[in-house]
Amino acid sequence: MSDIASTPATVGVIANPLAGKDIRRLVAEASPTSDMAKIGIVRRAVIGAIEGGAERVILADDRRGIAARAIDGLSASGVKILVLDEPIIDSGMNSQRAARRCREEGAGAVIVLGGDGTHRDVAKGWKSAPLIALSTGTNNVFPRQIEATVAGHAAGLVASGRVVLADASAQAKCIEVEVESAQADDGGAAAGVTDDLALVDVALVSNTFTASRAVWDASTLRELVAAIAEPATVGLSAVAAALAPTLRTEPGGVHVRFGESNGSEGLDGAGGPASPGPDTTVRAPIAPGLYSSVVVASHRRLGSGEAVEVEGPGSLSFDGERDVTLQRGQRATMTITADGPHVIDVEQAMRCAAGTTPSKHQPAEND
Amino acid sequence: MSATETAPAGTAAADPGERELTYLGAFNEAMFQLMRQDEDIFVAGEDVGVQGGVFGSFKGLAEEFGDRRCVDTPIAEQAIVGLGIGAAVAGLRPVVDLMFMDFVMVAMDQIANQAAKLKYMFGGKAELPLTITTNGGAGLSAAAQHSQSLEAMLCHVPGLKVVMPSSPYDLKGLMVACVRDNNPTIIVKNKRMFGSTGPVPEELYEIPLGVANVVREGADITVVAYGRMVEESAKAAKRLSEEQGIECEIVDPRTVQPLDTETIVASAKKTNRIVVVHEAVRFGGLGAEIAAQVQEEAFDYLDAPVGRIAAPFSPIPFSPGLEGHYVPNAKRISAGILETLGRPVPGA
Amino acid sequence: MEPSLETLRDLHRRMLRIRLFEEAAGRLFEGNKMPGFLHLYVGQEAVASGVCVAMREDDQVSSTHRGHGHLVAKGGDLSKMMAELMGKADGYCNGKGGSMHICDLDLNMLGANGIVGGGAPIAVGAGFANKYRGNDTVSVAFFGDGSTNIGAFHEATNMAAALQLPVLFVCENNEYGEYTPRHKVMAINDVVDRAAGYGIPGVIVDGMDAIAVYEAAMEGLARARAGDGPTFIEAKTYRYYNHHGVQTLGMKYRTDEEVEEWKKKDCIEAFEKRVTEAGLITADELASTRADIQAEVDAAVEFGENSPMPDVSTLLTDVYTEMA
Ligand SMILES: Cc1ncc(C[n+]2csc(CCOP(=O)(O)OP(=O)(O)O)c2C)c(N)n1
Ligand SMILES: [Mg+2]
Repeated sequence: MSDIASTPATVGVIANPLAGKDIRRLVAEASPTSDMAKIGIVRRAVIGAIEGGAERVILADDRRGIAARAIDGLSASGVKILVLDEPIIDSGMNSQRAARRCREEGAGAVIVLGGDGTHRDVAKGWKSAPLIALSTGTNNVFPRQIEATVAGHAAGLVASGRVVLADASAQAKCIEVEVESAQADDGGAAAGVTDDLALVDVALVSNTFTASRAVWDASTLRELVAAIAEPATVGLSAVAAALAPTLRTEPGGVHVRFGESNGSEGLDGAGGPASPGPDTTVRAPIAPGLYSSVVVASHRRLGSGEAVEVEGPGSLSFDGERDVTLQRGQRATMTITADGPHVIDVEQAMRCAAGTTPSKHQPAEND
Repeated sequence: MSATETAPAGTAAADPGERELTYLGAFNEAMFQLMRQDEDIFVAGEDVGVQGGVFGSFKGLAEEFGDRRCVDTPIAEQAIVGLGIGAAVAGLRPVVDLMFMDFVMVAMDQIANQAAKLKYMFGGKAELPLTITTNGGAGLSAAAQHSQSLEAMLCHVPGLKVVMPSSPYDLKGLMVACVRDNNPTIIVKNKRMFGSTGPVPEELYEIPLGVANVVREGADITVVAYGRMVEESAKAAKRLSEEQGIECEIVDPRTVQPLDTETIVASAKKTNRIVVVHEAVRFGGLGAEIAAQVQEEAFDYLDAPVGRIAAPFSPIPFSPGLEGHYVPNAKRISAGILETLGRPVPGA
Repeated sequence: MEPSLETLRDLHRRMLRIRLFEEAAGRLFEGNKMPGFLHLYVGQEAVASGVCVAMREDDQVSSTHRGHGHLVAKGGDLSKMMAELMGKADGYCNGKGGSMHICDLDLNMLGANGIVGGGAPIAVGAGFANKYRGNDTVSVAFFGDGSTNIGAFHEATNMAAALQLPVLFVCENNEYGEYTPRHKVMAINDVVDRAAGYGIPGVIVDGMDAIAVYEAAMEGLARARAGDGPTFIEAKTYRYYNHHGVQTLGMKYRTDEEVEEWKKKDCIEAFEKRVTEAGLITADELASTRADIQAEVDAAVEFGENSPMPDVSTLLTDVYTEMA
C-alpha cells in the first residue's frame, strides 16, 4: 500500500504507566488499574491498528516494559514497531515527550491510555494531536470507555487515510493557561509567563502544596474554569455541569467561584462574579464514588477566548490534579479555546470505513 | 581448556603446585571450569549475574555464559532452592546461591523437607544433583543474622551433604566434587577467608566428599577442625610446638556430612587425646557428635574427655568488643588443647 | 487537609535529622570508625518522615536493614543510635545489634531487620495484638521493593488482609534490591499492583514528597484505626548511596545520570524551597533548625566515640529472660 515515498501510515500509542494508581483509591472509591490490564489494552490497540491499516506503530516506552510486552511477537506481522527510548525516571514529562515524538514521526493517529491527566500531558506535547482517548485513569471526562481493539482499528483507518481524519474527528476545546512568574524574593518585577494547558478543567484550590496531586477535598475549591461540563461525568467539572451544563462540542465553558463558607479563606476581589447572589449548594461527584456538597458563590458561562484571571495563594489543579503552586498575589489567566486535540470518534470512523457514512472530504495522499 | 578437558572425572586431588589463588578466586575458577565442561550446569541466586555475587564469587560468569546460565533471581530463598530442586529433578545440574548462611533458615523447608528427602520418599527414583553455595562465619561485625555457622542443623538432616572448605585448594576441589555429586550438597565458604591465598592447581580436580585431610601430623593430641578454624588451629599448633614441644595432629574432615569418622578415630587412637574446634555454638554442635563417635569407637584409647572449643551459647554480637570474645581463635584453641592435655593454661 | 505549620516543621525536622545523622554515619564508616554493614537511608527521608508524622506515638513500626531512618523518624535518640552503630556499650542495643538491628521499643519501633521480608510479619503480629486488645493503635510495616518477592511478605500481607488487621504496609520502592534492578526480578512495575491480589486498597505516592506521603499515610492510618483493615502505600523513592556504604556514582547497576535525575527531586531541597517561597517558614528558621540538628548529630558522634566498648561480661546476658 505504501509504494508512495511518504511517511508510512503511523499510529502512536501512549500509555501512562502511573495512571489509575493514585491516592484517589483511598480518598475516593476509584479502582486500581494494573499494568497487566494496561498491557492487554495496549496490545489490543496495536493489533487493531495493524488491522486498520497501520504500517508503523510507535510506542512510548515507559521504562517499565509495558510497551515491550504489549508488542511481543507482533512485529512478525511485517509492521514496523518502534519503541521510543526509555526515559530516565517516570514523570508526566514522558507522555509529553512521547507526544512530541509522535508528531515528529508523522503519526496520523495517536491512541492515548490514561485519565484526564494523561491526556493533558499528551496535549502539552502535541496540542492538536489526532488522538483517540481511552480511559484507564481515574477521572475520565476527556477519554472514553471504548474497547481498545476497535479504537486501535479506527486509529489505523485514520492513519492510513482509509478514513479521512476530518470525517471522523472533532477538534476539542482546551483551556490555555498563562501563569505569571512568581515575584522574586527581593520584590523585583515578575519576569514573564509560563504557558500551560488543560483539557477539561482548571481549578484554583487553597492548598499550598501539590503533594499527592489529586483534589478530593471540596472545601479547598476557590475557583473553577471548565471547558467540559457534561452531567454524565465525574470530576471537578461535574460541579460546573450541575450549574451550567456545557457539552464538549459547544464553544466556551463555565466559570465558577466558590462561596466563602466553602472554605476558610475569602475570595479575592479581582474580576468579580458575574451573577452575584446568595450562595447555592451543589452536590456533585468530584471523584469516583465521592459526592461532595460545594457552596457556590457565583457561576457564569464563559465565551470562547474570554479570559479568567485568578490570583494566589494556592495551587492550580489541571484536570483534577494539583500541578502548579501560586504565591500570594501571583496570577494565572485561563482562556478556553477551540484549539485542542483532534479527537477521533471511533464509532464514526468505523461507520465511515463501513461506507455507511460517505466522506465529505477527499482521502488525502499526504497531509 | 585442555587442562579441564583432560581431567577425568573423579580424579583425586592434584599436586597443589606453585600457583597461588585466593579462596574466592579458587571458587570462581571452579565455576568457570565446571560450566565450560557441562552445559547442564547453571547458577542462580541474588545478584549472581551482572554483579557477579555480592562477594565476587561469580565474577565474570555472566559475561561468559550469559543470563541463561547465570541467573539473577528475586530475593526469594525458598524459591531459589526450589528452583534448584526442580531443575535438578528435571535433569540439570544446578548451583544455587544463598548469599549468607543465615538465609539457609529462610529456605529450610525446601532444603530439609524437599531436597534432602525426595530421593528416599520416591523410593530412590529421584536424582538430585543440586549444589547450594553459601557463605558463613563470624568476625566481621555482621551481627546475629549475617554471621552464623549452622552446619549442625544441616548435618542433622539425612540426605544432605555438608561441605566446609578450609583453604583455596580444598575449596576448588570440593566444589567440583559437590557439583558432580548426584545428591544435594551444601558448600559453605567462610567469609573471613575470601582473601586468603594458597596454591591451587590450574586444572580441574576433585577432592572426594567424606574424606578427611590430615593437615598436620603430630603425636600428642588430635585437633579436629574445619572451615576457618583449621587456620586458627594451625596457628595454635605451631605455637604449642615451638613453645612447649607439643605436637598436634590436625584433622580437617572437610565435609561434615558425611563425616570421615574413620580418620578421626584413627588419629584419636594414635594420640589418645582429642579436641574439636568449630565456630558454631558448642551446644548441639558437631563437636558433640564427634565426641560421641570417638568415645563409641575409641573409648579405651582416650586419656581425657574429648575437648570442645566452640562459640558460647548466644547469638552473635555485633560489637567488635564482644565478637572478639565470641569466635574461637588460636589463643582459645591453645588453651583448650592444654586443658585436654592436663597442662597448665597460661592466664587461667 | 492542609498540613498545619506545626506539621510542616515536624516533617522538615524529621527529614533533616535523618539526613544529617546518615551523612555523619557515612563519614564515620569511610573513616573506618563504623564496623559491619551500613545501609544508608539518604534519599528516602520523605517516606519515613511523612508516615511517622502521620502516626501516633503508640503506633508501632517494623523496619528493614535500611532502618536508621525509621528510628530517627520515630523520634530515636541520635546519641544512642550513633553509639550502637559504633558497637558501643551505650548504644540502643548495648552494642549487640548494630545498624541492622537498631530499635527502640519505648518508641514502638520494633527494630530494623537483617532478614529481608522479616519485618512485615512482625508488624502483622503487632497489628493483631492491637486488634486483640481492642485499642485503635496501628502498626506500620516499612519494607523495600525487593522484599516483596519473598514468601514472608506475601504470607504476612495476605494474613493481615484476611484477618482485617490494623496494619499500614509502606513499600519503599527505590527501584533496586542490592545491585539488581526491580524489572529483572518482578514482572510488574508497581508493587502496588499486588495489593488488589490481597484484596486491599493500594496507592502510589511520590516518595520524594513528604507531604504527599503524609497525606496518603493519614488516610491509610485512619482506615486501619476505623477497623477497615490494611492499606498498601507504594512510595516511589531512591537511595542516593550504594546499597551498602557511601559510594554514589560509578556503579555498574545504575547510571550516574539516573542518580542525578533523582537528586533533582531531593525531598529536603524541594520541601525547603516550597515552604520558604510560600512564606510559611523563613530561610533563617530553616537554617537554624539545620544548625541545631547538626549540633545534635555532632554531639551524638562525640557521645558514640566516648562510649566504651561493651564489657565482655555482657556477652552471654540477654539470651533469655530470667524467670524468677
Ligand atoms: C532473606 C534475605 N535475603 C537476602 C538478603 C540480602 N539483602 C540485604 S538487603 C537486600 C536487598 C533488599 O532490597 P529492598 O527490599 O528493595 O530494600 P532496599 O535495600 O532497596 O532498601 C538483600 C538481597 C537478606 N538480608 N535477607
Ligand atoms: Mg529496594
